[in-house]
Amino acid sequence: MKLDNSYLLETAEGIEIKLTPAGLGARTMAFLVDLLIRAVIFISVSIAMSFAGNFGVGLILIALFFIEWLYPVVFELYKGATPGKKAYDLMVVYDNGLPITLSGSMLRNLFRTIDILPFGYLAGMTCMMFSNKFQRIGDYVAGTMVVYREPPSELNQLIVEDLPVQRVSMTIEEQQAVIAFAERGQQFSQERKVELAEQLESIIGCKGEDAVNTLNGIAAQLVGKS
Amino acid sequence: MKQFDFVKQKESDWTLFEQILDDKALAKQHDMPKMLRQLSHDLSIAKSRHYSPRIITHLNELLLRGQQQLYKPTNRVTSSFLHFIRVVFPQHLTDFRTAIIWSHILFYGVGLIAFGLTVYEPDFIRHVIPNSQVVGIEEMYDPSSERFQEERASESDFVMFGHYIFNNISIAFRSFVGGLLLGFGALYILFFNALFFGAISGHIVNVGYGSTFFSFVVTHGSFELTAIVLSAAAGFVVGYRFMAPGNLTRADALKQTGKRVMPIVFGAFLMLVIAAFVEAFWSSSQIIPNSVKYGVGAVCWLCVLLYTFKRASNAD
Repeated sequence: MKLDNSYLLETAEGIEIKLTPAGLGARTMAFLVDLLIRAVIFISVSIAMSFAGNFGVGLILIALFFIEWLYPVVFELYKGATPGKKAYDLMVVYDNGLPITLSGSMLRNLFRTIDILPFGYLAGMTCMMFSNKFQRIGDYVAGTMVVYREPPSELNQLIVEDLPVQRVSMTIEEQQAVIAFAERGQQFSQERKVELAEQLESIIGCKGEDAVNTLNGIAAQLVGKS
Repeated sequence: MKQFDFVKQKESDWTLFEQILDDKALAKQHDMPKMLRQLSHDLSIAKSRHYSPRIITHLNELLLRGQQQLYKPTNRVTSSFLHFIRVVFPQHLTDFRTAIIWSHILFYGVGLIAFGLTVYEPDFIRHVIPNSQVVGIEEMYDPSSERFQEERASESDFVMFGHYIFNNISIAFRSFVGGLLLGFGALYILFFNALFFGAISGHIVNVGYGSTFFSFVVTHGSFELTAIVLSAAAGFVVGYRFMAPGNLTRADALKQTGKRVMPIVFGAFLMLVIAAFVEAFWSSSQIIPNSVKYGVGAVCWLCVLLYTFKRASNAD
C-alpha cells in the first residue's frame, strides 16, 4: 500500500532519491501569498510613482509588466522559489531533481497563460490532479516540478539506557515501526507514547511506562545497541 | 552489521559531506564525485537492510543536495548577453528556418492580399474590422489632428513606453503560448493579425493619411512585426511537434521542443523591448522629418531581416 505521494528519482549512481511533490493545497496557498506580495509591491510602487506625474505612470506600467512576468522567474532562478513558495517550504526543480535554469523557469511561467484557462487556474489544477508529479501544464512543458524542501534533518542515534530486553519475533515492517517509534520518541508527549505502546499490550505483556521502556529496549536491540 | 555500528562507522563521512555542501573551499580539497558515489552506496545498503526511516531520510536528503550541487546546470544565469545575441539566437533562427520563412510568407502574404483588397474595394475593411474601430484608427493618423502639430513632452513619451512594453510584450507572450494550444492556433493568430494589419494599411492609404501612418510605423515595425512573426513561428513549431512527435512520446516531444524554441521567444521579447522603445521615443516624434524616418526605417528593416535570415555559420 502506498500512502505517501513521494516520487522516486533514479540517479546516475544507480540509486533512487525520494522527492515529495507538493500538492494542490500547498501550492494554492503559496500562490495566494505571492499574489499578496505582488499586490503590495504594485500598490507601493504606484503610490510612490504617483508623485512623479506622467513619467511615473510609465514606470508603473513597466513595473506591472515586471511584476506579472518576471517576478516568479527572478526568484526561482536565484532563490529556487518565490517568497510564497518559500513560506510553505516548497521549491522548484527540474524533474531530474536539479536546480532550475532560466529557460525552464521562463517556460513554466509563460505557460501560466494556459494554466489559468478558463478561469482560476482550472486547467492547471486539473492537469496537476492527473499527474503523478503534480505538474501543471507549464511544468509538463518545462519539465519541472514543485517539491517540498526538506528541513535539514539531524542524524542523532537512538539514546537508550539499559532496558529490559524482550525477544519478540517480528516481520521487517514491524521492526521498522518499533524503531521509528523509539526514534521519534522525543516528538511525542509521555501520555501519547504510553497510549501508542499500550496497543501492544497483548504481545509485550505490560502497561504504562513499562510498555514504552520495553519497546525502546526492543528497538535498541534491533539497531544493535545493548 | 546492525544499524548502530553502521552509522557509527559512517557518521564522520556523512558529516564531512554535509560540510562540503555548505563550504565551497572545502569542497575543492575533497573528491566530491567519489564521496557522492560512496553516499549512494551507503544509502542503498541502508535501504536493503531496512534500516530506520530516519537514517534513510537523512541520507536521501544529503544525496539530493549533493546531486544538485554536482550536476548543477552551468547556464543558471543567462550566458552572457552578447553571446546570446551573437551566437545563440542566430543559431536557433537557423535551426527553425523553415518555420520562420513560412510564417513570414503567411504573414506578409495575407497582409498584402488584405492590403490589395482594401485598396481596390474600400468596403472590404468593413468586413474585417468593426466600424467604430476604423473611425478610431482614422483619428489616430489624421494629419490635421492636434497630435501631429506639436511635439509631445518627453515624459508622456515615457508613459507610452511603459504602455507599449506592457501591452505588446504581453500580447506576444500570449500569442506564443495561446498559439500552441491547438498547434495551428499560432497560424490562426498570425493570419488574423496579418489581415488586420493589411486591411488597416490599405484603408489608411484610401483615406489619404498614408504619410503620417507609414512614417510612424516604419521604424519600430521592423522589430515588432518580425518579433510577432517569430513568436508565432515558435508557437507553431511546438504545436506541430506535439501533433507529430516522431519517435518520442507526445509529452517528451512537447518538453524537448519547448526548451529548444525558448531562445526564439526570448529573442522576440528583446526585439519587442527595442520596438517599444523606438515607438515611444522615435516614431512618435514630430521634429524628425519623414524622410529621415523612412531612411532609418529602411536601415532597420534591412538589419532585422538580414539578422533573421542569415544562416549562422556554426549551426547544426
